[in-house]
Amino acid sequence: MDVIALDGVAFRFDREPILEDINLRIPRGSFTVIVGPNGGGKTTLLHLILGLYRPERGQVRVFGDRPGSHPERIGYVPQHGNLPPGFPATVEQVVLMGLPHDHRHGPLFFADERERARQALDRTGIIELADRLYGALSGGQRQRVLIARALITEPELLLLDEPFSNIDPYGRACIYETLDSLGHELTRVMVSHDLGITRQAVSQVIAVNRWLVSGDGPTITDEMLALMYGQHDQGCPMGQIILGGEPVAHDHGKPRP
Amino acid sequence: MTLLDLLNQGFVQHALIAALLVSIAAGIVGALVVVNRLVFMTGGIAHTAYGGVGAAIFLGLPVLPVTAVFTGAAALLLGGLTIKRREQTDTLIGVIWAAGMAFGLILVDITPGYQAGLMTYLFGSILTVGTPELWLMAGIDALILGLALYYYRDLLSFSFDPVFARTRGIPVTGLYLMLLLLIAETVVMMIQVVGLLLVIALLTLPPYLAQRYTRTLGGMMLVSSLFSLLFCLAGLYASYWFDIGSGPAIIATACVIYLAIASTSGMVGRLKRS
Repeated sequence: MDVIALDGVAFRFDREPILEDINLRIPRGSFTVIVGPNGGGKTTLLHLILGLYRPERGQVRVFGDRPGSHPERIGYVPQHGNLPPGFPATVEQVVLMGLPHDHRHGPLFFADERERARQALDRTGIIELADRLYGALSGGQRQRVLIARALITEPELLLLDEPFSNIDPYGRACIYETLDSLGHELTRVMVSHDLGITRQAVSQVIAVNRWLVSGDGPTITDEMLALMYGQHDQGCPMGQIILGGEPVAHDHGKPRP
Repeated sequence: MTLLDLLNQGFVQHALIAALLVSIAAGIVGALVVVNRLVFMTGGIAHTAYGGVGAAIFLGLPVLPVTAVFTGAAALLLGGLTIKRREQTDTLIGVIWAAGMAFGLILVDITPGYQAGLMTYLFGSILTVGTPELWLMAGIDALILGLALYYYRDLLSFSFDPVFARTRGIPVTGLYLMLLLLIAETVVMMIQVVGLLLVIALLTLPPYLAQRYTRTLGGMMLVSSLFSLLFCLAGLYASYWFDIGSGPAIIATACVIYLAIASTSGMVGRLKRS
């Protein structure tokens, strides 16, 4: 059964076409990585799946329903760089913000909710940070707090938007470990502009640059590279490097874990 | 006249109650203004309020209720316009800011007779607050306190990360409009105390200070209210002592205290590091 299904989806922003003729199936339990250049429409695709945008044409279905119908079944990890650093909130409070809007109101969180927050923090291995101020954490720690916020509802689908941007190699290693440990019943979709992230746990790679090219398994095909960066001379070893499944230093010489 | 004689005066008691009521609203709404980075928006709404003052004077109606309705409507209009054109927010605020002011000035100009009390609305006059105004302030306080407590979780999530809040099913657009409406009513309330030109200082300085000492949004609201009350009371005393206008005295006191705390903690921080 497919968790996410997009059929003939097109989206424009200010009359500028961002995505065209997108067809996509994401099966339950899979780990999908969406790659593509900046501005290619990766985040827009996530926002369509979340129901933050409506497609201009075509249909988006999540768990067989309209996007946005099941907030508690979906965990979303946005790019952490956009969040206000001086905000007065502890890590536990940030995680509690992951609870869906329901009948509970008022300034206090209930004991059962706080227990769920603690469990989510435990799952991401940062329970000891619970009472720290969010703004005082490192980039990698903040990212794991946001993953815990997404996990508080114990979702079946986890959407991650560039979880490794501006994170040092140690922080990346911790986030990898966290993502690997979440169990295979969880469907994971991760956006990245970084081609080096593909590894064995990944079940499919999708390239998006206004159009979409999908392949089988954790490989970036020549067709994907052509979509993302235009046609290059043959003989570029990039495809082979990534085929191996091992993370290899190749993007601008940056070291990786 | 001793301090005790002063406190026995009815207008002084009114001023103290007004200071307390205004501080409750300023603390809660000011904290939300600062964490949502709506300071420029708040400045725009405050200046637009002058249109309401002009309309009330022109129509010969009580100023505060007319200004409350006018400013609330302008805030909602601004909210509606900026939701769809987020990238033009600055421009739209500038336009509404100037348009509201100009509208008010023109209406006052074409109203026959000399408008002596106009400065009251620009720079405030906490010593002339009457009982009906106190009741209006108490009503606005009750509204702000009630909504802030009831929607606390949603406001927290919305202020921290509005895009994520939408994915949780939180009605972000409604909260944004509600917040702008609360800002508008707080501004109207504060016109009596510090005047619409100086409102922005009393809505931002207390939360800036409170942010240093608090770990939660609710705590920031409470500490902001306390700072605001401190500024109002100290400013009132300065106004009496130096025989200067209460509105400017309150803001000047707030600025002096803010600078003193900010520079002291800056120095302490440097000493700790060295």
